[in-house]
Amino acid sequence: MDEMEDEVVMTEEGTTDGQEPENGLPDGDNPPENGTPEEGIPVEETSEELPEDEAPAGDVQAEEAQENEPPEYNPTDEEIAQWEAEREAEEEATIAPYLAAAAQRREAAELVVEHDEAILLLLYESAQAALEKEGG
Amino acid sequence: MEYQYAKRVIARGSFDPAVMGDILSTFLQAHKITQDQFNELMDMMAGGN
Repeated sequence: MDEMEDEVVMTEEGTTDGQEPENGLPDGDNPPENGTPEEGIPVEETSEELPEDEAPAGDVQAEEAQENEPPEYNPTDEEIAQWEAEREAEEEATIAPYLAAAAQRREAAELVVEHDEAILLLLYESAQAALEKEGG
Repeated sequence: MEYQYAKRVIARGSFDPAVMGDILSTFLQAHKITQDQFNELMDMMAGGN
């Protein structure tokens, strides 16, 4: 025990009784106890402290959005024409059954009209024949 | 039957009004349609319902 105390006394020359300061720094390097800067050093007062190298949040989001976007692709005129032809072919293939059904319905409706008119003419001729029979 | 067919043909508009008028008059004279039916069909041809 006495040997250790002797070592402390020998190594810690700056201390008076061999005890270290609380923070392990020499007395001159201790910060002020109240946390205020030392007098004579100007301090800039800012309402919001932002590091100069940090960009605002909006710019960062815009940059991320640009990075996530796929690279711009400009199709050639031939590609556009090919796509357009494919699209029209698909559209025609999709609509074709409906167009055929519509045409069939139209033909059927025309046929019904022709039948109705023919029957009406037959009824007319029948009525005329009945009148002639009555008159004759 | 005459009334039904005449009404369908008139409703489609696929008829010659002069011919249809003659047909309806014949139906009326032959007692195939009533006077009310004749008037109704003539009104339809004139553009009414």
